Order: sequence, then C-alpha cells, then structure tokens
Amino acid sequence: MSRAPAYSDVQAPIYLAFWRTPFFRAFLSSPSGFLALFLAGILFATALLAPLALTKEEVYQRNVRRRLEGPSADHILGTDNLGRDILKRTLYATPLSLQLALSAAGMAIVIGFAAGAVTAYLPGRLRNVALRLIEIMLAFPGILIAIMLVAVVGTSAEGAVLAIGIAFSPSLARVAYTLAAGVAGLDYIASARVLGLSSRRIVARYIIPNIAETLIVVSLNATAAALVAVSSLSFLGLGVQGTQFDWGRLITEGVLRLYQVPLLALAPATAIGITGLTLGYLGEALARGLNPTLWTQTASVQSRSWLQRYFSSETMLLSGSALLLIAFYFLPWFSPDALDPNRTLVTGAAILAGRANLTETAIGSQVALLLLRTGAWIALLLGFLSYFSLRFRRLCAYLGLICGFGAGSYFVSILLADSTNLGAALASARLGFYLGLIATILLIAQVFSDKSATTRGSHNVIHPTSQASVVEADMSLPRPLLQVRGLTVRFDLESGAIAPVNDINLDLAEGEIVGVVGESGSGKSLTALALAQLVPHPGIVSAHYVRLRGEDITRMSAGQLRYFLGSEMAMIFQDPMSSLNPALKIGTQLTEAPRVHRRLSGKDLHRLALDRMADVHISAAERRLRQYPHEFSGGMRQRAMIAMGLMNSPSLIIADEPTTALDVTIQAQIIDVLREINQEQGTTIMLISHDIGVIVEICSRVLVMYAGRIVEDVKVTDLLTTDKHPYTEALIAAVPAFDSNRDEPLASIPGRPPDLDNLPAGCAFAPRCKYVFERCHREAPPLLHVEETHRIACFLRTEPPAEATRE
Amino acid sequence: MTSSQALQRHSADSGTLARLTSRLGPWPRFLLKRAASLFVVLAMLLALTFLLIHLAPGDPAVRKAGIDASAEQIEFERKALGLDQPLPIQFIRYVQGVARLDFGTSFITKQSVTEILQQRFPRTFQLAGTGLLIVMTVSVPLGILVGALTREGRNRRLEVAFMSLTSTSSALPEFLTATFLAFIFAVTLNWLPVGTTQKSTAIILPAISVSLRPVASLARVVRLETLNVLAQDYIRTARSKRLPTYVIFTRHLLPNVLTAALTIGGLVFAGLLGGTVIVENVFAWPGLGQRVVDAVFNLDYPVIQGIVLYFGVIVVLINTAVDILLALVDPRTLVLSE
Ligand code: SF4
Repeated sequence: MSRAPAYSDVQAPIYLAFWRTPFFRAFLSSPSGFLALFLAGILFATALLAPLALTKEEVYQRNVRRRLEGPSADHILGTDNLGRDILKRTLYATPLSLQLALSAAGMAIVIGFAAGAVTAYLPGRLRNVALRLIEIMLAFPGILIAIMLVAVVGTSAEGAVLAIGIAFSPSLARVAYTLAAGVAGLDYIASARVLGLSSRRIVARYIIPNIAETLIVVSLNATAAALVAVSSLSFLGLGVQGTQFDWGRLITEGVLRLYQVPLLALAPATAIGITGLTLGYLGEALARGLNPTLWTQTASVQSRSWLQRYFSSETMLLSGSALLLIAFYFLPWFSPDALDPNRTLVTGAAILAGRANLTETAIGSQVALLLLRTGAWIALLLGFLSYFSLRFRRLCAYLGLICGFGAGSYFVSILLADSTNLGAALASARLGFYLGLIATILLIAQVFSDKSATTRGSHNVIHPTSQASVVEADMSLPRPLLQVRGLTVRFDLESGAIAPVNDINLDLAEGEIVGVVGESGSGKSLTALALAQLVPHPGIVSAHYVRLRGEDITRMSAGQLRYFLGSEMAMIFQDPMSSLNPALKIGTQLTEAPRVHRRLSGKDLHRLALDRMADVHISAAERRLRQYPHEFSGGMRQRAMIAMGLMNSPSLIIADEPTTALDVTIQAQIIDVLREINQEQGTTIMLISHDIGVIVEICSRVLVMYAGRIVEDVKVTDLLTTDKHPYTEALIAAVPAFDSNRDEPLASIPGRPPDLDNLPAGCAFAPRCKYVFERCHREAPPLLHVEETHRIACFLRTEPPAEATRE
Repeated sequence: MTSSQALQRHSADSGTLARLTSRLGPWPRFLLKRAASLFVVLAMLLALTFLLIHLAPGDPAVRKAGIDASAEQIEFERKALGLDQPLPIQFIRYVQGVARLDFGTSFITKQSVTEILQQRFPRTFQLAGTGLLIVMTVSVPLGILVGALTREGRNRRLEVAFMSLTSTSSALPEFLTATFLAFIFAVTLNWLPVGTTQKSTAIILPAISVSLRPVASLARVVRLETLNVLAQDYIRTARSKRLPTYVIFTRHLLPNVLTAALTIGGLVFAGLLGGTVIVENVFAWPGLGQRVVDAVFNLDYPVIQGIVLYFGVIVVLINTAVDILLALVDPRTLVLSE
C-alpha cells in the first residue's frame, strides 16, 4: 500500500494493478466471475463465522414443544423434529461440510495427480498396463467403489473422506496423465533438457505453467464432485456419525419429513446446490482468466460498461423471475394458515366460476394467490423465452406489472383478512385480478401487433441489393449459361463489415471451361460457395441477379432452389477424403442425389451409377460402389466425387481446387477427366485454383480475382501476348517455367496479400503494384473492356496516364 | 485423415499379439481381445471383492456369530466361513462359489445372497432401464437440436443458456434432484406418489432423478459431436447435393452422433447405476442399492460382496457390449481399437 502513490500516475503496463490485469478482467468479464467471488465470499464467511456466532446450545438444544414448525419470526426457516432451528443448523453444518469435501478432494487430487504423472513417465509396456487399470477403474460407478471402501475403512467422517478420495482418484489420474504426456512431448521441454536444465526446474518453469489452467479447473470440479459424494455418503448414513452433522446428514432427516416440513430438507439441499454452483462458476471464471486466448475476446465485452453488462435486461429478467418464483413458493408458509398452497389452482378456478364453497376468509387470498402463482410461473417461462426474443422480453416486462398488482392485492387481502373486513379483502383481490386481466389483454394485443421487433432478414439468401445500379450484360457470349451481376458476400464482424466477395459480374457460356485464379483470401472459393448458396454463417450474400439457364436463382423459393440447383449444378471440393462421408458406402453417396431429385431407384439408379463411374474411369465399379471412402486412393476418391457430381447431369460443375490435395501425376489424370466430361457431355466447368498452371492447361478463359473482386477476365490464348493487369503479370511471373514444371515451389508475389479488414482506399493492389501512380490511391479502378473478350480493372490499361504512355 | 493413417500404421505394425493373431480375420481378432480383457477385469473384480472381507477391520466370524457369542460359536463360524484355511484356498473356494452362483448367506438375515439378488435386482433393473430410456430419448434429440441451432456460432444466447442449464444440472447430485422433485411433484403438487412401488407412476420421479445428470452430460457430448460433424466437409458436400435437411440429418449426421453417444454410453450407464444406489435410498425403492447400503451399515460382508460383484459384472458386460456394438456400427473401430 505504501508503494501505491509512486505508481498511481505512471502509465506503466508492467505494474498493472491486480484488478486491471488481463487475468482479472477476463475473470470478471461475465456475470459468473462476479457471482463466483460473491458466493465464495459468503461461503467462506459462513464457514468461519457460523461456529463462532452460533452456540452449541442454539444448534443442539431440543425443544419438543416447538417441533416441526413452519417459518416464523423466531425460526426463520422453521424447526426440525426436535424443535431445533433449521437455518441455524444448516449454517452450522457449513464448515464441516466444506472441510470434508476439501479433504476428500485434496486426497483424490494428490493420489490422482501423482499416479497420473508417474504413469506418464513409465516405460511403454508398464504404462499401457497402468493406463488400462485406470480406465477399468473409471468404468465403475465412483459412488459404488466408495460405498465398498466405506465397508472396509468403516463408517465415519474420516472413512467417507478416505473412500471418496480413493474412488475419485482414477479420473484425476487420467487427466494428469494426459497433461503430463502431452507436456513431456513438447519441443521446448526437449530443448530445455538439451540445455541441461534440472528436472526440477523444467517442472517448475515449463510444465506447471502450461498445465496450471487445466489443473485448477479440474481440481475445482473435483472439489464440487467430492462435496456431492461426501454428502451422498452422509445422506446414506455412511459418512458423518454421532452428534456431528453435515448437510448430507441434515437432508436425511429432512427427507423423512418432507411432507411435514419441506424446508428441513430443502435448506441443506440448497446449501449444497449453492456451493456446487460457486465452485462451478469459480472454475469457469478461472479458466477464462487463465486462458490468454480468451483475453482478447473479452475485450469487446469490456467496451460495454459494467453496469450494462451485469444489469442487461436478460440477466435482470432471468434472475428477477427466478426470485419471483422462489419468493412466491415460500410465501404461503409466511401467510395465515387459511391458505392451502396445494389447492390454490383448483379453488381459484372454482371461485372464478362462482362455485366456491369456502369460508369467506379464504376467498380473497385464494384468488390473489392463484394469480400470483400462475403469474410467477408464466413470468419465469417468459423470462427464459425473453432471453431469446425481444417480443417475449416485452411481454415479460408487462407481466412483471401484473404480478405487482397481484402481489399488492395479495398483501392487502392478507392484512384485511386478519381484521374482519372480508368484503374489502375480496374486493382488493378482485381488483388486482381484473386489472391484471386488462393489462394482459392490452399487452398481448400490443406485442403481437408490433412487427418491428420480429422482422429480420434471413441470412444466406441471395437477395438483390438496391444501392448500385445494375450493370447490364455487357459481354456478348454465345449462349450464356450463367450470368452473375453484383454478387457480394458480406460478413458483419465486431471489428466492422468486410466483403470478401465484392460486386462480382461474370458470364459463363455453355460448354466453356473457365478458370478462377487468385491467392488464398482473394475470395475465389467464397464466390463459388455464394453461387451455390452454401456460404457459411454469418456471411450475407446479395446480388442483382444470378441467372442459371436464364432463371434467376435469387428469386426462387427454397424448394424450387433445391430442385433446380440439385439437378443443374454440382460442386467438387478440394479434399476428397473429408468431402466424402467416411461412414457411408460410395454407392450410397453417389445415388442419394438422383434418388431425391429425379426419383430414380433400383436398377435404373444402379446402372446410372455404374455409367458415371465408367465416365471417370473407375474400374470394377460394381465392387467399388460397395466400398467405403477409406478403401479408395486419393485420386480415386476425387474421381468418385466427380462421378457423384455427374449423377444428375448438371449443366454447371463448380470445381473448387479439385487437384490441390493430390500429387502431380494424379492431378493430371483428374484434369483429363474434367476435360473429357466437358468435351463429351458439354458440361460447363468453373475451375477454381490458386495454380495458374492448372488453369492454363484446361481452361479457355480465366478470371483473375484480387481482394474479392475480379481484376481481369481474359482468354487463355491472350494471356501471354496482350497487356495484362499488373497482378496477373505477377502471378504468371511467379510460375517458374510456365507450362512445364509444376513440381517446383511457387515463387511468391512480392508484398503481402491484402488484408480485408484494412483495404487501401483506391486500387486494392496498389501497395504491391510496381506501376502504381497517383490516381490508383484515389479511385478504385472499375472492370472495363479493353477488347471484346478482355476486361481489366486497372487504370494503367483502361485509361493510361499521360506519362505512362509517353514512356 | 487420421483413420487411414492409423490403418496404414497398423498394417505396418508387428507387435507380438498382432503377429500371433494376424492370421485371423479382424472380427475374430477383435472378439478374442475383448474376451481376454473381459477375463482380466472379471478376475480383478473377484480378487477385489474377495479381499474386501479380509481388509475389513474386525473378525467376520465374530460379526456373523453375533456380539455375545461364545468362543466355540465364533470358532464354528470361522470354520463355516472357511476362514481357517490358507488365503489361496479361500480364494479358490470363493471363485468356485461364485461360479455356482453361491455368494454365501447374509450375516444378519441369514438369507442367501443369491436370493437377495434375485429379489432386488428386478427393481434396480427397472429403475436403471427406465433411466437409460429417458437418457437416450431426451439427450440425443436435445443435443442434436441445440447443436444444429448453435452451429457456426449461431444463437449465442441459446448456447449460453444450454451450457449453463446442463452444467447446473450435471452438478446437481441425484439425492438433491430427488429431494427437490419429491418436494415439488409429490408434496406440493401431489401429482405423483413417492415411497411406494405399488403404483405404476411411482417410478417416474426416481427415474427422472437418476437420469437428469446423465441426460445433461450426454446432451453436451451430443451437441459437441453435432457441431463437429456439421462442420465437416462431407456435410457441405451433402448440402451441395441439395439433399433435404432431414436426409442430411438422418443419414449423414445421426450415425456419427450416435457413435459418439455410444462411445461414452458405458460411462453414462455406470453413472446411472451409481445414481440408482442413491436414489433408491431417497425413494425407498427396494432395489440393490438400498440393500447394499443396509449391508454396509451392518457390515454384512457376504451381501456387500455379492452386490458389488453383481454391479461390477453388469458394468463390465455393458462395456463389452458397447464395444462390440461400436465395432458393428463403425467397422473402422475394429482396427483402431488395437
Ligand atoms: S490501378 Fe494502379 S495500382 Fe491498381 S493495378 Fe492498376 S496500376 Fe496498379
């Protein structure tokens, strides 16, 4: 404390105050951290103070005249079968319960961690045996092992601790083993060994920090589990004995008298529940605090004020409605005994129907109580729903009001019921009820007529944007199969929106093979996914139109779309192993699409599959169809993928890096298969690749993408002869020997690939362009025709500056 | 992928056992190994339960004869229990007895343990079976549903709600759940009976208490697996084929998720059995769990031995069954398990 002033006005990041460290911020970044501290404080204080504040007398003294009482001013939670105060006994049991749980957990942790660590360093065969043993022990229910152990060590508090400690150690041993084995294999440990550090230092400096997070969380979980297990044993009568009592033992007494004094069991049960929750929250918050990768995530949460964080409407409503429920559950025990809590609903309904045959004293209160009970239930339910939807949030807020009316009238009626003014009690209860009824009707009418809260655009559906003007079809292709205008994919991230695919216009002619080339991150794969409407969440796709065979798929219903794309478009992905379902036979995967879309089955379907397998040159197709993907070689799998795509005779195949995962000879085969299909069946192919060599080999035209835009659209035959976009030039220059040797690693293009978060103002390529001039920084170059079949987005080519032409 | 690598690595492997059994097909080899491990575990179980009586403090003969028994009586009981023999002989006798399904007689009630098992087991089976049914029918659909709704980071709120709900309920011990449930449904609402086995509805509360924890943990596993599968490339392939959603879910997702659920099925069942021990005591459900606690209370060793052994065998058999089932569902595990 004395040092504090010296640093108070210095912005030294190294001397962060504890509560400003990323650890602590992450710890507190969600309500669970706050709750954990709060509850842990209360528990700790109770454990310390309860034995001091409560005399033995208060806890043990019997008072038979006041046994099994409900809550009253003397005994807040009532009394047990010997007339002792339930609350005091529950509090008094705190230190013992915690102490037993902690010692059992401590024992399990020590035994388990030691066993696990030793196992990890055993020689191979022995280690396997030890592991198997641990696994076998894990297979048995822990509580059963504990019960058996209790039989051996004897029924006592110490026995229970011992039994739980041993019974729980296998699971901790396994965690410790996994951690130790993982850490021992890490490179830096090996290098530390080479450097000659002693084992002790290696453990202290490298191993402990690396596994601390998991160990702490696991230990806390073990403590929670131990608490439960020890109380379970006590509850069964196998733990704490004699005059001692912990929560488990209190519950045993309570369960026997559940019908008379429910609180006798509920109070210690709640105590266990709260302690378990505390430990759970603590573990959660500590894990968050100790995991540096979560620190940055929480930063965005930090930007809201802590008030907003903790008292956001949902937290408030959730806890509020839960409190309401609890309060109203226990209220009846505080109220005049005229009320029968079990009959509220029935009698309430009877009263409303005018059929009640009750003494008048009860009626007013009954009506109010009915209102309260149902209100609280509905409020709780809506509270949960309100968490998900704005509509329910409002409904819940209003219901709170109704409950308020109800509560008010309830208390009034109780007060009046004591005096003899029954008419007034009844009237006040009725008033509350009718007011509530009117409010409900009004509110339901209002909430459900309020559409603004619920309309939200659905994601992943291409819908025309209205901002930019539609670029007219400006390419005179013979028979256009696919026409795309203004295709954009947007991601709204917390750091701002990015558009990895930005205003793409392209046409594909029937029977063409068109390549799309670009570095990773250029948006080429996402363009393919957007065309196929498979963009992952939370991407938002928009377009003026996407016409396939003249039909605009952006205006189709989901059902139409499924049928249309299912038969007109097929996709082939990069990694055939992961793209085929490992658990299904190739035949099943081949035939499922035509079964759905063309309603084929039986022999026809089988023949079709055989034909397609023949198309892609898979021999012994009959047998192959019955095999699983893992029985195929890599190239064969990709062919099976292609055959699968061909099943419905699509007019367009989009192949996303179909050769990248394969080795060179197989690549050539796949390319051949694609070319053959194109020639024999006239299928249009859009081939996406980062490898311009592959594209040149098979395509007639190539689209070059950079930072989400098409920067060049050119015939492959013109690629080597005409003036190109500077990026295309660089791409070609990066291929060593253009059309022969693709084994060699690609020379890379100078400069860094574009960062979509942070694109330069004008031309996205400007930072890496060697021709860059002043205008490039000001405007983004549009994609314009330089020839009939050649489009470029570069000022240098479309509107060359005066100096450039002079040179 | 890892499976194919493992396959290749396996075929190159030449461990002793692999060499010995390499002439067999994968199935016989697999079953042989399972049988071997089953044997080992059963032997361990026998040894452990046998040791129980010897590790325990006090003389079992005294316990059997009663506290005020004479020296001769105790000596008689010692003979009758075979405690005068050397340990190995005793063990062999024990194993022989177990093989004849003779577990001895209770010290207290003088009832044969086999009879106790016969009487009590159906109740426990009823409870655990109903519990398992609840676990399977609730957690798998729930996990898949929540997984599908929260895939790719959708519905963050739902995810948070699901996680906190499941972590809370998996932290609630069975006897608390049981107490709360009994309070709400039996005491307050008076809808369901407790403390009886006469009415058919009496099983509802115990079964729910027993299954809540496994439901929560299994639902979490199922959700994780659902997320995992939904992120797989082959789901994207299925979507690119425009299969209807139900086909994607039933054909491409469900088998994988079920396999994952099955993998921890053994553990879930063990947890369920452990739960029945507690819950039976809350609801006075006359099953094995209630009886074993009685027995521990009275240090009635033959009964403890018998019941623990019985539970152990069930757990082991279930685990073996799960392994075989897994191999049937997913042939790759046949090879990977080695
Ligand atoms: S517009 Fe300018 S910066 Fe962009 S590619 Fe052309 S010359 Fe380079």
